[in-house]
Amino acid sequence: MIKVLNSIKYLIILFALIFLLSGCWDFRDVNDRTISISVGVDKANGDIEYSGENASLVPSNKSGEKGQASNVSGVYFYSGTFGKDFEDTRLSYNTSIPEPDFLGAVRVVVFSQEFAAEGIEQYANRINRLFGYRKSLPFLVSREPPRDLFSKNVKNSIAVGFAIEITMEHLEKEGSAFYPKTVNIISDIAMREIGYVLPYIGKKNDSIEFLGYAVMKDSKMIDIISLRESNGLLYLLVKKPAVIEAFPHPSNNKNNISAKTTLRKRKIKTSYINNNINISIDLKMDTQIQYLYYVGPLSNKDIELLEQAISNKIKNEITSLIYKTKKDYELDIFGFARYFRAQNPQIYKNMKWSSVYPNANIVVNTSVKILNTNLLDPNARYAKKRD
Amino acid sequence: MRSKNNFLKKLEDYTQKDMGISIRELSVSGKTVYVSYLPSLTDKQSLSDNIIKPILQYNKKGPINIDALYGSVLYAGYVSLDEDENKLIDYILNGRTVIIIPGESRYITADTYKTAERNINIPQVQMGLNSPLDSFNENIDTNLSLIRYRIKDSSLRVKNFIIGKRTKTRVAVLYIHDVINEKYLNEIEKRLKAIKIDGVIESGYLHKFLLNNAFDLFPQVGIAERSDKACADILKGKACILVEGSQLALIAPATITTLLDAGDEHNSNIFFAVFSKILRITALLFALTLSSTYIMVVSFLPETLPATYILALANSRISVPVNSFLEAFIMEIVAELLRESSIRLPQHIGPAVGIVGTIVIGQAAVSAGVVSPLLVIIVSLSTLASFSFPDFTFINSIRILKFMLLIFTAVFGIFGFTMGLTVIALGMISTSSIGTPYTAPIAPFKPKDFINFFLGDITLAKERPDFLETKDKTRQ
Repeated sequence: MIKVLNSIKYLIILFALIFLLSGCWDFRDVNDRTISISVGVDKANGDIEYSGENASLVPSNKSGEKGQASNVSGVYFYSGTFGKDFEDTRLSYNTSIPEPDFLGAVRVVVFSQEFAAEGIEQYANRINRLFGYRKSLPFLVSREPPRDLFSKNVKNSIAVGFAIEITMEHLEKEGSAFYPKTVNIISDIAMREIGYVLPYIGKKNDSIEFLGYAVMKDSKMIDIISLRESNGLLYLLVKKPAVIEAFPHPSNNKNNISAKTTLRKRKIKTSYINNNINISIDLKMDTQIQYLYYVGPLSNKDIELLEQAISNKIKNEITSLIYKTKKDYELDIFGFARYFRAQNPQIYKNMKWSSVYPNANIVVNTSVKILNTNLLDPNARYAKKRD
Repeated sequence: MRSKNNFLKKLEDYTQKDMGISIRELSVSGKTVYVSYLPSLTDKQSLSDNIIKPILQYNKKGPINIDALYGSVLYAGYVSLDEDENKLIDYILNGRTVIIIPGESRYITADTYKTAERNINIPQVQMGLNSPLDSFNENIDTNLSLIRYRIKDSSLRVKNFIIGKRTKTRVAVLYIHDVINEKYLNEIEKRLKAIKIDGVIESGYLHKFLLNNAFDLFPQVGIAERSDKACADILKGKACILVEGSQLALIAPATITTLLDAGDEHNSNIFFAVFSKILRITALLFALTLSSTYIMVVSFLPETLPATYILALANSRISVPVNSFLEAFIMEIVAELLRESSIRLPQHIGPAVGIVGTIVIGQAAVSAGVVSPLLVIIVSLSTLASFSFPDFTFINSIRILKFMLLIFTAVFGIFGFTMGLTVIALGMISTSSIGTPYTAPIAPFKPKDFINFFLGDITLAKERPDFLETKDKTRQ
């Protein structure tokens, strides 16, 4: 009998747990919700404007078969929801959607330049604290106002939001773009003393174009780093950066060598000597020669010279970008503060990083090793030109 | 001086009660010998060749008597003497021939039993690809012979029981006496002896009596249709219970791992054995959780899916008029209905149900927008998965639990799902089969047994499973 009572007791506890843990039973089928795909935030006439794309869940016969629902979901664009603050704008948005919204499928949050310049911290906190959003949501800044960006669909995806996501994801995967997510941005904001960058995009010929990075100081956009001058940023921020560039052949100016350089090891050491911050950045890179514009010989000497040339180029790119951040922005956008804080915690506590960073002594050392020398034909000769 | 008996009178009483008993009077050397039998259970050839013929040919000096008949006349192989007149009818109803000489205090019973018997067929419920095909039939002697010819060990013992006040069904418990743990044997014996039912028609009856509690959901006794499986289990140190009139032998104790063991993976290579075990465990999870996972994802946690799938999923459900729970529940019921009707239907029209199921459920329901195509895949997959188990009694429990989990999930979402799984795990862990923990060797964890179960390779299993606590642990 006691045994039976015990088991009943356990069962009651178990079910009580269900009630305690559940909180709210949000049973609602996914097709009975308004699925948001992208969100745009802008500032217009002092008001906040939301625009974006929602999934259009209405039966359609795109597949051509009668009575059969299409497998491709459409999207519809919305804009013109204004309010004096986020909640007000949200209310305006909620009154225009047919079902309760579902934020779990939001792919991107795009800010207009105007909004980004005024500061995105409040919105980042909103995304971070609201239950429905994924914390892996990326923030981007758009050249065009979001309402223009989302208004016309792109040709390579069913939604602009998806197009932005797939474009940025493939670039990130290849090591060609830095693509921070909500958690990274929130962490950068929490550091207070450092800045960060957000991807800067635009629309060109009905496609999404990655244009560079928006530099954020105190979560306000202060400048844009163009894609061409952003290689240095990749080497310092991206986990596995890969840059493909053409270099002139060391012994033949008319020939070019296509080389793919990837990061093997990044070591950042900091110290504090004589009231001066010293940051030493050691980058070890691997380069793969992809092809030569004209098939020709590449001697060991050439390879050495090429390694040197690549190394110098990378070093210059990084140094010039660091110089820019120190002199123009007076802002650490690379997160060196994290390394310093970890390596010199007591000193960091008693200093204001943002004010000492511009005077920091930063040394960049790069070394490049070309990996596939043996795959190149050492006996190759330039083909004689035919008459 | 031997007393006069009442045998003949008793016999005549029985014959007047329309019991179908025959009495044949034979006159031999001045005496009348009465031969009584039940024609429907008697081998006529054996009766005439081994009993009637030798009695009629009796030509020795002196009058015929019981001892002479017993010792030097009858040809029948198994003959016995008895003097209890109340047992007369039992002998006859068991297919034995009773020989009575008036004035004698004892009578003879001779084995002439023969009944209609199915041939040894290929297994119907425990098919195996790489395993012997001789499955049990309803004749207990045939079944005993199928085990005996595989295990020629002198330690193989058979304990016989007669269960059922009216059916008097023969039940045989087979085991290897220097291997099996007496604890299990005694427990089985105790439970069998406690049965006071009027009749046992099938081994399933006994199965219920061997349960700890009538409301236990999980089968605590395994079934064996193939004689090789029964023999393998006897060798492991388990008991095999054969029931007269049932082609399914019972194996006790049974644990969850043995219920997942089809037997034929032991005949295959080690990689396939591991692969098939993993496949079967996956199938178990599929059968139990797929529909509930569907409800959980569609109605509570769509964000667990990538965005493109969320859209595809939402899109596939646009025209579905009911919510995900009702949709899944109805589809599961329809799948169960199909399964049930395909079992009952005659063999020749069985495939028709498959066609109806495929066309009506698969095609038309999706086209009509009654269910989403994804759910059709899910329900088909979970039904398919449930067929991959060697022991259908186990999967029957899983089928019930599937619905329980479905309701839990629909009401409480992911918490209900988790709690449902917890309740199932608790239920399994707290079950025991004839005193053996049901979840052994997982809980209590016996690493060696667990590895042996997974590898399923007899060359590596040097010892018998530890959780069976056998007397002789060594196998090789």
